[in-house]
Amino acid sequence: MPSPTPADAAGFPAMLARMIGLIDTKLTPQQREKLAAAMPSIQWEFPDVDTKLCLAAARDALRVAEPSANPQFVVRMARSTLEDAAFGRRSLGAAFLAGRIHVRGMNPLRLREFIMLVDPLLESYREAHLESANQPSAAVP
Amino acid sequence: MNPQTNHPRLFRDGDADPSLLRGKTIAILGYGLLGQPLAQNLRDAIGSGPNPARVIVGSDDEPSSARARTDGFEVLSLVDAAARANVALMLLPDEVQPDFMPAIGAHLRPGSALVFASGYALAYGLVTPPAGIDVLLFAPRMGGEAIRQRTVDGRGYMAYLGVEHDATGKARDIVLALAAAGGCLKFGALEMTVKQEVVLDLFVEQAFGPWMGAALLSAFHVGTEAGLPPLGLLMELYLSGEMSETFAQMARDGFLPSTLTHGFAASFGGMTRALAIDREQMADQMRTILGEIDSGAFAEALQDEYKNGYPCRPFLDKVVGDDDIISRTEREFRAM
Repeated sequence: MPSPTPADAAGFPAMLARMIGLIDTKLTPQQREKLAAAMPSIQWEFPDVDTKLCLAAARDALRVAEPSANPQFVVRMARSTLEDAAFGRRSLGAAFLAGRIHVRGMNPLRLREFIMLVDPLLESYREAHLESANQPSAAVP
Repeated sequence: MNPQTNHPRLFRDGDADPSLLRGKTIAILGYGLLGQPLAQNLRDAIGSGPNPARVIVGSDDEPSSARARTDGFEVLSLVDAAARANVALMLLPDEVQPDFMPAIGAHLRPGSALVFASGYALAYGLVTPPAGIDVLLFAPRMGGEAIRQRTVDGRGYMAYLGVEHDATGKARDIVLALAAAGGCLKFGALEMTVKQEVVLDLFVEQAFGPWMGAALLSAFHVGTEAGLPPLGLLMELYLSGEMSETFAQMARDGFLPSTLTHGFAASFGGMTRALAIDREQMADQMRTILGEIDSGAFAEALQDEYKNGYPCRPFLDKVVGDDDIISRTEREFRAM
């Protein structure tokens, strides 16, 4: 799937925040509850664009939280890796195999809860990206 | 246990009498990776000649049943095969055994033997075989294809065996006979409990295997990033077969002696770099893994995965099934 005009770097954190809001609408209450129990906070780091964002999962909602200096669970990748996965150019699995995604602190026995998040996350990022690109004020390089 | 060495007891062909199984019906419950070679080995060993054993297959899975019929076996449902068996080999996948065990157990005859090829379901209390039958462990340490090939070659293969419940007073003789007829005792079988078997198996799969795989992937990606040819890297790592020869040499000549046979440059470089690896971090992770296996936390996660319809499977399959550079390079090499 071709990606639309990429949003500018300054808009990236806002797009991620919007993505988290959209993910929240895609999870069932049971899924949210499981995620909150298994991994109450996931820190997403994009070092190439100097962006960190913490997804805080509670039973009632997913929220954006302040990044932690000492996060328990971190997923680190380049922005392009997320966009390639969201727009179908390269799967997250292939990116992981190629060493483009670094995961630290995840309990492997709770992989199911993390996987449950993957499709809603990619879909939500895609939607947030399209919304951003369609906004008249969005800066287009 | 061997009192002289403190090692588990090692059994070989001379310790067993496979003729004990002649005239018996042996049911292979599940015709998959292990079921197929074991059924064929048993049929070859004791399925002909005087008073032959009857090797039948129990399967509720149509593709497996069709494969077994093509291989010339009589195929029954799992419970019907169990009902006919003097010796039944439980070869269903670990995590599904609890669902089938009540029905299979109800059909086993008193005095028969139920043999597990993995200690998982028994060790974690996920199945309860009926009283009045022998409960045995015969766990080959080899993939199915190798089991068959090494038996045909006359080399045999390693297995663990043990007796969990001896209802007949002949349980050990039966499992030894099975191991001999199944082709393993030409190499040897170590005596283990089901808990020892499953912890050993899962620990090495989960603690050692991933480090080895991660080291391989990292070496490949660091090398390709630096401009080394992908095919050359894969050759060095495994594709040439040198690495598997190295492992074979470790088994033959010993782990440490084998490190000295690759020339001084290899020994000097390898040993000095090994000193710089943070083994304590590695060991800590391995201790965590071992703790989760021993406590049953891993088994709980696996059962949860099964009960929920394998939700992780598509993700894991996709990781393997993607058109990544390693798979592409392998394909291109095979086409050369």
